[in-house]
Amino acid sequence: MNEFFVDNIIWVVCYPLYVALLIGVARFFAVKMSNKLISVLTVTGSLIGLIFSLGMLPVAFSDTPVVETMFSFVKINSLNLQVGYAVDTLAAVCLCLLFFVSFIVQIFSLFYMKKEPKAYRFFAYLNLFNFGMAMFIVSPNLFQSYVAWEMIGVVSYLLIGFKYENISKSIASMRVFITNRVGDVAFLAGILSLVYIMLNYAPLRFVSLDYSDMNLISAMAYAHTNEATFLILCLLFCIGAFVKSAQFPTQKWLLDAMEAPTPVSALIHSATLVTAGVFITIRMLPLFTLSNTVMAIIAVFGLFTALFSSFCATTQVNVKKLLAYSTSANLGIVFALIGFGNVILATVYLLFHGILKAGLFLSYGFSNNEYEHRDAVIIPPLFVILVVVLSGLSFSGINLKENIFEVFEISPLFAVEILIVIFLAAFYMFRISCLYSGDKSLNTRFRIGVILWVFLSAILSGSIIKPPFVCALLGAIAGVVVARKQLKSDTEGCIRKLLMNGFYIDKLYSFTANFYKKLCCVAENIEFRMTSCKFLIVILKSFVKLAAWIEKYLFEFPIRLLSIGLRFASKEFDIVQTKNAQTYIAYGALIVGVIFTTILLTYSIVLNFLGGM
Amino acid sequence: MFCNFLSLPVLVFLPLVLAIFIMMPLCPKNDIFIRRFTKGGVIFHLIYSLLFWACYDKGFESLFSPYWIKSLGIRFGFAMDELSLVMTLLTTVVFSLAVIASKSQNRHNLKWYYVLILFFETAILGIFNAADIFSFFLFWELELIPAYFLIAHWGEGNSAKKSAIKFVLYTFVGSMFMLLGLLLLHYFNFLATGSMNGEIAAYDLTKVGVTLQLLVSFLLLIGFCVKLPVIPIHIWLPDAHTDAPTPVSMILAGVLLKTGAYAIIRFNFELLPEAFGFIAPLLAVIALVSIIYTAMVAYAQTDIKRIVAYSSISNMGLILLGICSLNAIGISGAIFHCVAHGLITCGLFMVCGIVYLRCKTRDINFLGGIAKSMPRFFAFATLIVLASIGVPLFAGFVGEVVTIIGAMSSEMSEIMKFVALFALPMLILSSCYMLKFLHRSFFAEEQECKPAFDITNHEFVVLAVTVVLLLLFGCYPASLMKIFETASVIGGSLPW
Repeated sequence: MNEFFVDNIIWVVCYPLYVALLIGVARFFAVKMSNKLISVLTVTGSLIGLIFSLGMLPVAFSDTPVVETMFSFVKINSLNLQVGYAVDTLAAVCLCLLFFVSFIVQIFSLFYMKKEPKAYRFFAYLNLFNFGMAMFIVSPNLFQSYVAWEMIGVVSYLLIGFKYENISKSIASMRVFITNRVGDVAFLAGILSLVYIMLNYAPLRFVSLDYSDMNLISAMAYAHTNEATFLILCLLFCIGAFVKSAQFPTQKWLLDAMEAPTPVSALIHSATLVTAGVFITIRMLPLFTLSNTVMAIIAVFGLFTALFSSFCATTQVNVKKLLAYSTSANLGIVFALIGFGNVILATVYLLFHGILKAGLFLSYGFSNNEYEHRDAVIIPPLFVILVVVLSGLSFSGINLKENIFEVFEISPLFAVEILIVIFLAAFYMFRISCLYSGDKSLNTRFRIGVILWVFLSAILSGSIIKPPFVCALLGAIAGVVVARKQLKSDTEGCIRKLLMNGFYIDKLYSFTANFYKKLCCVAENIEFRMTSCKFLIVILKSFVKLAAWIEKYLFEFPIRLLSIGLRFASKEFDIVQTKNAQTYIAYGALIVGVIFTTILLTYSIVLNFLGGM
Repeated sequence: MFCNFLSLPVLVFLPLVLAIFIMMPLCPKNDIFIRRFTKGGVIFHLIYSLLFWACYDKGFESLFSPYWIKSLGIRFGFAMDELSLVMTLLTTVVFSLAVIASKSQNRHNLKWYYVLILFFETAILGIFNAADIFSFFLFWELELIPAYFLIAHWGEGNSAKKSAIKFVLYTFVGSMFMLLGLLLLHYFNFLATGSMNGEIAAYDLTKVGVTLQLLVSFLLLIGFCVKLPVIPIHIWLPDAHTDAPTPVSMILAGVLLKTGAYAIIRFNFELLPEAFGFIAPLLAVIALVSIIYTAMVAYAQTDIKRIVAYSSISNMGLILLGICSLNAIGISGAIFHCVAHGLITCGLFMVCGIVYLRCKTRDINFLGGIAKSMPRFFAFATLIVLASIGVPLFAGFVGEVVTIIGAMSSEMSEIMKFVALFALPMLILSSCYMLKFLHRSFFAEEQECKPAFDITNHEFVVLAVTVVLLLLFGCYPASLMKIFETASVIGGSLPW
């Protein structure tokens, strides 16, 4: 029975694609599909996906990975890029996360998009995204991963620019796409470098990018490169993963991505797409573990991002942007865990965070629908409950944060850092909850209930005096206090401004963009000069002038001389024109006489000459 | 069964026969008749060329190959191998699309417009299927005549005549060097083998010294690179493409540029591999500069047609890079990208043409919000733009990636590896200028231009065929690669 789920998973993966195509084609030929039909088709896809991925779990946990090849994408000599699917534990777990979150989000979108006339397009994109992400998760080799990776990037771009009439959304979507593109290119460069190494050094030019051969590939890459080159090779993959997962210094794109409708933020920019970077890092671990430097870089960058994004989040007043920073920070923790070699905890934390973050977005979006134009932001009770869990003040959250703390305990520096991150996480989450929860939405009874629940769960799990819980509690209290104070009197400090603008890291982007634009202008300037061909034209014209000069003074000269002579003669001889008949007759007689004499003379000379013969 | 009826001279000269029929006095002078007749003829021709694909076994050679100048061994013959077949199919598809797209343009002198287009098709098919270097040269020069008149007479801009002259001058000067190269090739072959034979396949210059090969290779390259084009001899291209009418731009970018790539593979790579091995690394560096530089220039343009024109140069640079890799993967990638890019630019120029037709301007500063009034058009434009920036599942992605893999795995020289790595940012730069094109003209609020109606049927056909082919070759590249994977160019014995 379980094999049935694994064998047919590819149909489940491809089903959203069919739905997306169906919606697109039907719309194109102006066939009206009712929103109900579309939503039923869409939600069915996620539901079946969820059932299949849950059904797969027992197999995935027990057996060896199932790898199936379907067809050759590109096959030239020894280069054989294949398409297929593979299911192992990681893939099964991530599929569960994907289909679970997308199921909830799609149900939510039915309400959210009720008044949107272009809802069909939205659902088509969601389906396309599901296909891309599922394909990414089940892909058996690096190349197929890259294809799916790009595809989800494109769908995310299309969804951010969903309301393209809005100029800020359109610009944000473009920025997100181009920032992601940088990561994509780094990732592709990494893949191509691996291909290069295999084409040159592998026995029989055996080229494989399969994850199942990753140990072999890594060993080969390690053996045939020196240390620096190997580090660069790994870093190319890391850059790709960091950009996709919004790590320092690229977390800005995640903030831009918040221009997307809230369901999209819940599905793509918190639970699924941003985890692609983590996913690929776990897949590439056989390569990374060969070098301690790489693992250290991953860990340090992850922790630094966690700290940096947490600080940035502390002063945000926009809930979605705050959640984006929080996503970046939590993914930083995940990267740090991977860097410390604790992949299982990283995966678990990834799942935990993905589900909770999606829930946070949805509960926020449920009471703050962009399409209903509410002025005041409202924080619903569910949001607060999720905040309590995510901050590590209640079940599962407490234990997870404790486990994470234990991993980092080996070094006091890291331990302090992770405690600060936990403190800040609770701080900004509670601050924002308090800032926007008026007396109407959260009454006193609810508040007391939450407090009791926190202490009860802490006592039950026995971690009431452990550092993570204490930090989180302090953070929560500090958050509430600061929020109260802010509600009374709002002051603008320079540090606050700095944090608010994310340490002005986007100035770096605008500087790069302006620099590139200037460079383009310079290139255009050169091009303009080249296109107008001034240089060539000058040369050509001077040639033409030279030719004209030669023509004028060299070849025309004899003829000119003749004409000058004639003109001179005609001027000199015009005295003969006297307008007097007798003179003309005299001329005539003279001329006739001269001719006559000449002929006679010639004749006689010729005769004499002949006679002399 | 029908395979017996296929004949290469018919394939090449069919458009010319149609053109002569249109010119004849007994042909009706009705514009609509001429348009439909041409459309039908070109589509029939497309089907005819598809039969060549269906029947393809080990290449075609025309039985009809009379001596042209017997004492010099010059024949007038045709032959087709895998490379020619791919290019022929691309040509017939692009011409069909261009003729369909011609419906909404060119109200004046329609008869001569279609005659020239058909003449153009014969010339280009002649280049791709010539068996003899002199018939190759004949067709190479012949194509200038229709191209010149199509740009100069039916051009859209005020400077159309100037651009046409520029185009002809540049190509012609290049051809002078090329002719010299071809003559030297013929002469050296005579010295080496002792027989006068102009057949391309029969040339054997292995015994000739490398220096002389280098000379010939270099002279030929000048002619081919003007057509390709690479910087700094690309200057004719933006002007010619911008000022030409939309269907002619589609032909120019879709097919004409590929004649350069075809010729480099055919002559420099196949006939003079040893010399080309020396030139290739240098040429690859020029190609890299060409890719990056023109991508940057494209970003600074405000005319949408110029953006597309510069993107063409950038992509042709990539194709040149693939050829310079001198291995099977790189060459296959280059051929694949020829087809992919041919289709992509076809679609992009069609998009530009539709925008210009509706808005009477191509300046992105005056465009905006077309997506709102033309949603169907917007869908197609987005798909084609995504294809052009190398998004997976479109053919452009496969072409780019395979080409760069080929360049990286080149065993030629160490330079190639770095050139290939530095060519990768092209993916970022191309997304910069293409997204600028899409966002500035389609997104945001509507400006002065308010199109009254969405795409018409013939525009739909052109765009849909382009997108479907791009998706087909992108999702299942083997369908196209199958044609040339056995080609001698790819599997042939190389010195390396």
